[in-house]
Amino acid sequence: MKFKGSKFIGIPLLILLSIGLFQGFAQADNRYIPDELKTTVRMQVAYNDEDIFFRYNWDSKHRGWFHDYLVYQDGEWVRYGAPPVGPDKYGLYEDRMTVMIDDGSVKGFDNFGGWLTVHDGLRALDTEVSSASVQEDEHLGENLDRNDVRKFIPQSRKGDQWWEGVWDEALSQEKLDDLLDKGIFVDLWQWRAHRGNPIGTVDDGYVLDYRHGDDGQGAFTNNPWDEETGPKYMFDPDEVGFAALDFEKLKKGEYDMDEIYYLHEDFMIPLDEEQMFEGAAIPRRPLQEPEGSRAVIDGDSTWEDDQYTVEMRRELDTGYIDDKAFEEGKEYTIALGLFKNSSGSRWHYISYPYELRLGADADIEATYIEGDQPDWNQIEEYEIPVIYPGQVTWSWLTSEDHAGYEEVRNNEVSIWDIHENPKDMAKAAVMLEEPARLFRQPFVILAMIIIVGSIILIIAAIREIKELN
Amino acid sequence: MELGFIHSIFFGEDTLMRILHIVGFIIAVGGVASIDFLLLVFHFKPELGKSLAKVFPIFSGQISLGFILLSLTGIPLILSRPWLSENFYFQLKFFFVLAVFLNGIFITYYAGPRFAKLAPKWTERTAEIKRYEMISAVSGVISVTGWWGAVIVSLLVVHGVV
Repeated sequence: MKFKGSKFIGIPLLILLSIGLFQGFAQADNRYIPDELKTTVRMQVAYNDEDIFFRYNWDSKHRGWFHDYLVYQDGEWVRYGAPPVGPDKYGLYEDRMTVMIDDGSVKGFDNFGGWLTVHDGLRALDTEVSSASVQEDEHLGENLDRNDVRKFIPQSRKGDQWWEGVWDEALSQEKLDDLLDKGIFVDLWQWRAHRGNPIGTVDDGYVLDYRHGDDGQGAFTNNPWDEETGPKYMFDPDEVGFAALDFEKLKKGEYDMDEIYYLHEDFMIPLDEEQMFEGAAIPRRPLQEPEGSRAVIDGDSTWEDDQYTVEMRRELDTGYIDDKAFEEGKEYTIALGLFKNSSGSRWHYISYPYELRLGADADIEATYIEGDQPDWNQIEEYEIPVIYPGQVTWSWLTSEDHAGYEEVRNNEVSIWDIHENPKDMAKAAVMLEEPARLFRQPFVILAMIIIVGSIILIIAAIREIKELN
Repeated sequence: MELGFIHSIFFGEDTLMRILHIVGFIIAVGGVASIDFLLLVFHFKPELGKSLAKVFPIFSGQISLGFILLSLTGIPLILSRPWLSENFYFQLKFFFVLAVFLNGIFITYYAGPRFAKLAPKWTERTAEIKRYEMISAVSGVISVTGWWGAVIVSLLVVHGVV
């Protein structure tokens, strides 16, 4: 046996290697990568002479209809359910189901879907631009009075090339208005489990130079508050039987979807401190009746047997310039976004782009129906894989750091051509987001162990060779 | 994301890594094949046992060197294709790799030294030698199956057959 000093080198090396692999990589503050990188949304689409209907169904054990509460604790008011990094710790951030729709007006959307709208500088990315910088920007700060960067399409930015899109290089408002007039934007429908669902509405918006709400009044507003005096409004006990929700029950998700877990202008009154108690919880986002173009999509939902089912219904042509009109046979591109487990901002699942046509062959074919309401048992169901997208941005896809940047810039390929399997794409995105994770793969760790082991074997062999005579 | 450096290593062209991976394979399998051939010779000329026992450590070192090169180049190849870790055939390949690696440890620390001890009296065909032959035969089967199994599976994966 020639095994002498080599193990004293190898074993500590293995231990150090393991510590480095599992502990040595610091995580950024905004870093959360879900264990489940891919999930599935089952989707159906139907239409009649007046309306289009979407139905989505997905698995979720989480009761995600609670959102953003002000809680009375130890004599002061504390906010729970602010936009979280990953899932909200207490489950107090609403789930969402979103769909982006384009009719061919936005270059590149048919090939890359939502990736086209995500750029360096967006909120929650590692490259997030500071609020101060956004406020100083002539368009986002001064014109729109925003303090963050959200989705936009490259066509809304200056640049010599169609694919160029830098957050602080927006076109003039006049040119942006012209694009909107021409229908160059991505329609964005958002079913919100809290901020809309209780009153049967879907938030209608669009993506152009920013992620805008459509013209009109949205379904939710603010409940002004401060730590000492609390929120301005509470529940009207005469209407709903209580002045505040119970924080402990909220954390356990004990309010069902058909109960009152939201504040609404119809049953809110000024706060009466006398009626507050330890753990009293008041929603920070009261609901109101939406109006105008923002209110054109009806929503309905259920949560049964650990599955959400969401239906959306809208007129084929609303007549508003910030909505895409649907026509039979015409080609549309849609891309889904799913926010599960009380996650917000970028911690969602997205689909690849899919071709949609009404009554014509396509990736997703909307089925014509005669009546006012589809019989969903008769409508074809499509299984749409949705994946965690990491921090892959359009800026990166078109940069020289990306191996396929030339094809992307030339709009010659689609995401389907490059990454045929969405789950593989998710894995690649995760590896890009957190390179350290690359080294934590079991096979990489095994390979490293083999390297160390082989070094030990070589040392043993050398010792034997040295002793040859 | 400041990934330029990592990206250039792991996501850029990996031709060099592939070539070095194959070089590692040639070095390692060259050593294995040499040992196998010498063992064949030994079968017909057992009197060469003492000499062979002296050269086997050299081939062991060569195999380990090949293993290191295979692993060093294999890591970036895996890193650039993280999804491979869920591929059954890739897992099968790694099973073969692990088998030959563990077999290598067995040979280095048990079979090799034992052979050096038994080789001079090999013609006596003692019970100890016969038992050793049985154990070595199992080790040999693992070696041949493992190395060539890994190669065949790799080729099938690379060429999209499986």
